[in-house]
Amino acid sequence: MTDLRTLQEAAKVKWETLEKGTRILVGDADCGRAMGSQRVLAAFRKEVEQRHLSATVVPVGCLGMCSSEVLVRVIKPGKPAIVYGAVTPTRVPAIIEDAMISDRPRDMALGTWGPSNGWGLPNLLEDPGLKLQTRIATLDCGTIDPWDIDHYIAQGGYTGLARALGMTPKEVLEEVKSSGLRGRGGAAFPVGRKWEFLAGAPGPVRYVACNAEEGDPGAYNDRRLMESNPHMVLEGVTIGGYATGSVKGFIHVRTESALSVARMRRAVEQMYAHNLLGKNILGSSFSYDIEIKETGEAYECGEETALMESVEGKRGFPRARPPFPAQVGIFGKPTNVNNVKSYAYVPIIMARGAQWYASYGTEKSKGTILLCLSGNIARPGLSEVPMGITLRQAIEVVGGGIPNGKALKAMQLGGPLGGFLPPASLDTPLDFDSLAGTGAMLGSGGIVVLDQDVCIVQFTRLLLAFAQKESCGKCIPCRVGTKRTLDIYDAIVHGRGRPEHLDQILQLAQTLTSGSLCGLGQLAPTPLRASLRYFKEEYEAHVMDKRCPTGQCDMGKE
Amino acid sequence: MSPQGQQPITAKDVPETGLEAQVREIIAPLAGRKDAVILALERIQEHLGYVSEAAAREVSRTLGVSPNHVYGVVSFYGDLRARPHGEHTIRVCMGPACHVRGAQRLLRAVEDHLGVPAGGTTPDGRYFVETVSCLGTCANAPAMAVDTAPVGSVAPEKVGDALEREAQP
Repeated sequence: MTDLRTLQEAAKVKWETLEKGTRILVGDADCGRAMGSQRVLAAFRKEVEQRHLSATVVPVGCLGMCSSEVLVRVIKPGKPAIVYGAVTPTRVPAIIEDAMISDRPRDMALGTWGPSNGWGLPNLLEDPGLKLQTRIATLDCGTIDPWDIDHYIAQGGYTGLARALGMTPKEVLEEVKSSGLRGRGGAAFPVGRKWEFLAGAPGPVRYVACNAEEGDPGAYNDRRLMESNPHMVLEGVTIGGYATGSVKGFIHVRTESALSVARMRRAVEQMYAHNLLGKNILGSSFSYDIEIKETGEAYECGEETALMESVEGKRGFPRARPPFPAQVGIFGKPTNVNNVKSYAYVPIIMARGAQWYASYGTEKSKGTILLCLSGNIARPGLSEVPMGITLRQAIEVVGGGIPNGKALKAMQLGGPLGGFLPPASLDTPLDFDSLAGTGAMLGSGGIVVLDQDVCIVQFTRLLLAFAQKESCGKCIPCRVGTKRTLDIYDAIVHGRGRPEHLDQILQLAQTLTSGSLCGLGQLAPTPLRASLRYFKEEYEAHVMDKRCPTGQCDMGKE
Repeated sequence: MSPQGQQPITAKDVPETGLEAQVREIIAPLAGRKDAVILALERIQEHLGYVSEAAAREVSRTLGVSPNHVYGVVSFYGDLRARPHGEHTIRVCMGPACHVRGAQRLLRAVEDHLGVPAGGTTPDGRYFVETVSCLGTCANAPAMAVDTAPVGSVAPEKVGDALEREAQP
């Protein structure tokens, strides 16, 4: 039996020892890895060893400046972190010289993380884009080593769970309810109420599931959280299990997100080793298990009933409802499914209280959004901003606007089943409710920015091709409807479009929405409708004049 | 569903009997667990590069599900393959963020460099090329992955360097 204080003391000693020396933090989530962070880590380790420097090289997660990866922060004791961007192995000796040997870092650094200590470097936290960020779910991302549970505990990790275990499950439910936390997977349903459905289910065995499938093109916040701070997600799933009286949690993560899988697996092992999972957690009467369930690639498995089939080791076909998951879920037992991000907020809500969390965001959309900016934008990447900032702030301030002097054409929000917004919508607040009726939705937080050179018809075709490829084939409206719609788009972008096609795709859209069994088919036509609504003249140019205004489509000439 | 390879190749020069023993060893801890079909198949594929018919039958026997069920799972999940492909898988991202930042040019560069179209394996059996819907490294578009290693902001003319660096034998 362990209590949290013992764990905290050990973690604190380790952390303080680390802080006494120089820390070299290297961004090693997939955004860092894609830019070569593994080679940068090796280069720093080699340099530190060869020069006999007293410094610890630490792999960390995503700090939220993905476009500057590989991002390195050098922190000397009592000094602000010096930040270096776009680091390559060849720059490592010069960075060591700049940050560690000289006492006055020069302009090869991007700046400092906080006031610059009289070095004359810019304070990055004063950058308007970074200033707008509000770190709740990403608080420790980019600072702690995701492989090491002690780093998380030293930052206050698992105090939320410890507090929850000192309360009754009902009290925990009430706390989560009064925080106003709403689900981040797309539907925005209040998390506490969803948990209540499960808590009220009959029978001794019920399950909690964490949807980490994240197959949405253009969304990567679930992965970044799991790569950067897996324990926070797992602590949330454990608190969810306690509040709902569950015996086990399943993390449903796609095998393809290899780094997420590896870090989550390691974190679960560490939790068992520290009595944060298993029998009588932290000496309480609560016993709980978590199993990482890998799934192959199938976007459909992000749908909660298909996810349950996949957890059972089957093809990911959605189930008919009712019965709802809170009645009949995984292995026939009552089950609650929430998204990774939804769970990630829970530990800090329990640690700091519902009122603290509810002080962020808007009246009905509490807390923050984990924005995934991508496409034609100067600073793409993950950022955490308060609910209610405008699209303009997101695009222009956080994202740094459209590069290369191009004009903004459209924003595609909410993943492949979300819609488009034109530049005229830039002043719309980003929250769950303000986007209703615009043809777009917040979804899981992905925003793909399109500049003037992107053909909207071809881009819509890309999203439809995705829906068609990922349609599981169980129900006919979706299986055939997505294919027929795609056929028409293929005709249009290859110069074979006919005026009546524009009516036909709307009819197909109606059939898909009203006839499909699950959200994939029902929402597949959302981009189609939104792009026709805002960019009809571009469709007409394709079908009437056989001309693609951006010149992107070959129109049959190739 | 993943496209099927064009040329028959021999990915690993291990005798079939050796492979069967390896498959048995991999899935032995999962005996009787019907819910672990996907996991068993993923682990086998990691080891063999694909799910052979013999391996699929072994999964069916050991985990206690029908061969049909196993085949259904293999054909459903996009990454599981019933046939051998190249030693390394090059996955070029065609997601929306990469689309607007030159995914087509990158794909063409990969195809030209290796001399095979997406869905194909190089004649020496070293590389299998496929397109995927999103790699989740949208901030570093256009992106590709060499096996599980993501490679971001790839300039088409640097494809050769990236492959050489990431695809260790």
